[in-house]
Amino acid sequence: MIGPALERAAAGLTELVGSAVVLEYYTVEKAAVEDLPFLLGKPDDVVSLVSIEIRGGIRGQLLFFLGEEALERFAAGICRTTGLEPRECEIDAADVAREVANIVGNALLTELCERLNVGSTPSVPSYVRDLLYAVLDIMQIKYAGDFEHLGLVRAEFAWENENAGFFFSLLSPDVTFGEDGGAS
Amino acid sequence: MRFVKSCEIAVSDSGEVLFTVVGSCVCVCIHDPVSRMGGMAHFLLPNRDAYPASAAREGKFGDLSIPALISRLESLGASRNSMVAKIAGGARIVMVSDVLDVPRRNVETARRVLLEEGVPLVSQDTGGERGRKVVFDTATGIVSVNDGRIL
Repeated sequence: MIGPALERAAAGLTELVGSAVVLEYYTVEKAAVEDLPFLLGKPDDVVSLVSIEIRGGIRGQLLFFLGEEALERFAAGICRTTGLEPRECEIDAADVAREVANIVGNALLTELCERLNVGSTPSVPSYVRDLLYAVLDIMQIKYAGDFEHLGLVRAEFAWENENAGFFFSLLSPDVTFGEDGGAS
Repeated sequence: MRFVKSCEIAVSDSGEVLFTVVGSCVCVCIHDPVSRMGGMAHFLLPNRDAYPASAAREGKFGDLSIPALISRLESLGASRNSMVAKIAGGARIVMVSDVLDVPRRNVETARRVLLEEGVPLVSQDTGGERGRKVVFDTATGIVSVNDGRIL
């Protein structure tokens, strides 16, 4: 059920940037909390991270990482839809990241809730921009006292044949995934 | 250059340059200028006792990792009497509202344990709201943070 949710997210992103965004690949896995920093990027890459807390029938946290290049591409795509010249289009990086996270997060959550027949509520997204490993050590600290493994969805989108960003969703540790990517 | 992962302790007697990236974690760099040896501990949480459910791994906790780092340096031939320490990290990255105040407690733990172990803390760059890339030259003891600021 993750695949359809991500396809739904791709459709939402297509609407956001005004040209076709496609899902390149996704993986569903369980990972040790202590391995979180080694699943993404280089230690000193700068990333934008949006975090959304999920409460209700599905609990946990959705995280969205966007590299600098991907963020610029999304910002440019959104600017194009406004009809303004790029230099006239002043768009805040935090707003771009939050919008992207909202689209992907809501698609993921809606699909999961429909399939599992439960209700969940996402929090207002919170945003931070920093060195990747600095951000990840916060996440390790957040979970290190309680959990050893977490359910993860990793997905990459592309448009105009270029990478459009890497998304990493961290769900509740009690959400497990079947071989077909279905959550249970 | 060797990357030191979170929860890892690394030592060198061959002049290696060690580096890491910390947010609210703390990185402790200990140097013995006489033997020209050094080591780095990148710990995640202040003390073992506060996290009974967490896996017992010495590199994870400040109260375990700093004595372990000193011990490993001593086993390589460094002398505790000539060791000095520098610390960096303990940033409060705004995304997580942390009722346990881990960043501040991590820094306090590093200071306390170094005092207890008798290793003087000669320089520090802690707190704030941004992550830090920390580079430690174990031969010279020079520690640089982010933009090349020297500790």
